[in-house]
Amino acid sequence: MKLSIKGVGFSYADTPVLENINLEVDGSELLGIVGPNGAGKTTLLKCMNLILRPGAGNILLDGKEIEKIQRQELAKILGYVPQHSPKAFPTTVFDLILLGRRPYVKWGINENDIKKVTEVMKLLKIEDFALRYFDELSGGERQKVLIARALAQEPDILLLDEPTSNLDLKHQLEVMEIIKNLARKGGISVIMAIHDLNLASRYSDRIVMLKDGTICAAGEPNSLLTSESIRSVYGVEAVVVNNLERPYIVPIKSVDRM
Amino acid sequence: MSRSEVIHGNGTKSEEMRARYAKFIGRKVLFISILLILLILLMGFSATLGSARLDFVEVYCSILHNFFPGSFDAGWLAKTVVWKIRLPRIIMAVVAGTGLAIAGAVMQSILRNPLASPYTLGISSAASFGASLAIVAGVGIVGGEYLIVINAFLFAMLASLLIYGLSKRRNASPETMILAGIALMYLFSAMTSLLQYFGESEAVKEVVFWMMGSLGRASWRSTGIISAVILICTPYLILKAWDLNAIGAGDETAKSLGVNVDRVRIICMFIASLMTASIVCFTGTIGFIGLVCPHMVRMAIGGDHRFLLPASSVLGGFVLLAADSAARTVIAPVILPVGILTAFMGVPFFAYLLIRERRGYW
Repeated sequence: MKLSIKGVGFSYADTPVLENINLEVDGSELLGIVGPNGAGKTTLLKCMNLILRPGAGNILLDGKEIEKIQRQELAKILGYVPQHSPKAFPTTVFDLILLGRRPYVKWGINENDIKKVTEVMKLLKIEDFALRYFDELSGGERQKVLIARALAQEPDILLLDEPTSNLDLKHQLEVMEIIKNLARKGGISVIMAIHDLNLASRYSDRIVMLKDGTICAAGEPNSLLTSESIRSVYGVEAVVVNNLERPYIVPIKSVDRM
Repeated sequence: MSRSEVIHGNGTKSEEMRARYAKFIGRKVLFISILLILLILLMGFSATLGSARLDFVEVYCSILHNFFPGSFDAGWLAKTVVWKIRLPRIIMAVVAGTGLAIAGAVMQSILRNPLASPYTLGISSAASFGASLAIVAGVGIVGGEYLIVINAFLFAMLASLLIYGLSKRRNASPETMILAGIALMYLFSAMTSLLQYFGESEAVKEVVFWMMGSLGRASWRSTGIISAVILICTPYLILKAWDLNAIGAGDETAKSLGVNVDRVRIICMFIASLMTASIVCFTGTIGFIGLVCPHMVRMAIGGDHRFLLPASSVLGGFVLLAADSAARTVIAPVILPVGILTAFMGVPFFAYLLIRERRGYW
């Protein structure tokens, strides 16, 4: 499934958040969206699956405008994992993942739904707490459950908003490995907004840098992540270590943006 | 789990999961079935209670007389008491409890707020104001008792339209709706107080009685009207169970799962208000059921709306009927207002559940 974003703009009231965004994602790929706070990463993700309606431009799925696709059908193509979930009434992990079958079920659950849920739980190695309550889990376990729910939708494209925020070191790596495998072996396009430049560098096939609502640079991590680009986007002086497989960023101090 | 299961886990694990889930669902169905049986038993028992001293056989002969006039018969008094007073009242208790509990469950879910109920959202106080206005200013002029009912209904619906209007001008977010509802509750309470302040003492007394909530005004006609509303609304809400489940996970998640969140929220809010309005306009305000029954069910069988809504409805009917049966008997022949009894009986039990509950939420 090919996702094309053409000239997309979005404003909250009178404040423009995104301007003239052009982007294309096709097939198995892990795309990282990076940029400072308020650059529009989350807004861009939300525009991609119509949680927000872009004020300008088009978003196309295999050439078809997403506004013309029914929400229910869209939910079979695009899975979304938000950064925060509101406090909710206690729900078991199984029920929460089963929710990902909402686009497919009428009312009753069939064998296939349970099979799909079981499969994604196995994939993320979370079968053991199927009947535990979501709010009793640790942050890392919760993140896996939310990814599992999005995968239960059987999406072609997975949108992740800060999948590693609030996770400890081990869980960050586990979650990123899962995401990478989905893109490599699962044939899913993954688009993630992510703060941690080193995780983005290590796992992304391609990175898009957002600044003030526009894409200011895009490309492979090796060519994109340089001291100059980090200084101009983040206003941070950083040393980029290049003798590893992927660039490794060591931030030094905050400076005025150029 | 044994080592061999871990190693050869693939097939067995998924079988095991299926079995565990089937059991998980089975428990919920069992819970609802048991509640339903208890409710039916309680209805049967409640028919034998009352100040007219009828014995068990007389009561059941009167009931069966209507279905098999040849085989069963009972005295005129028994038939009248049972068919004109007790049965409408029992059925009214069940349908009113059912509707209030479902309305409460739906409001809590679409607003994702444990405190939402017809009471806290101003719908009950709007109904009270409508009834008070009819009692203080207009009773006996036109329509008699029906003026009170219609006025209460109209004001309750007006409250829900105001909440809708206020939240439509912004976005239909839960916070906006709750704040609008609470603001309306204060407004209508203040207006009711104003009426009471200036009203004739007889009328004020009647207003107070109305607001305590009672099933004493139950008739076959009012029971029929409420039943019809509930029989139409409930299946729709249960059909929307998945949308309600999705909204519980957050608006953004629900949207990404294909739910038109704003529309579902507004329609469900309207239906819950309609159910509440059509009940409280006949019974007066009966608090507690709409707030607490859904929580009791969530504690017992969890929040999946496919089971939460049916279970809440049965529990609501059961609690209201139990409270009304007690209200008719504790200091018979005096009949206490049922609104008082629901709180007296329900709060200690709910407090016990809150203390016992180990999950972090409550």
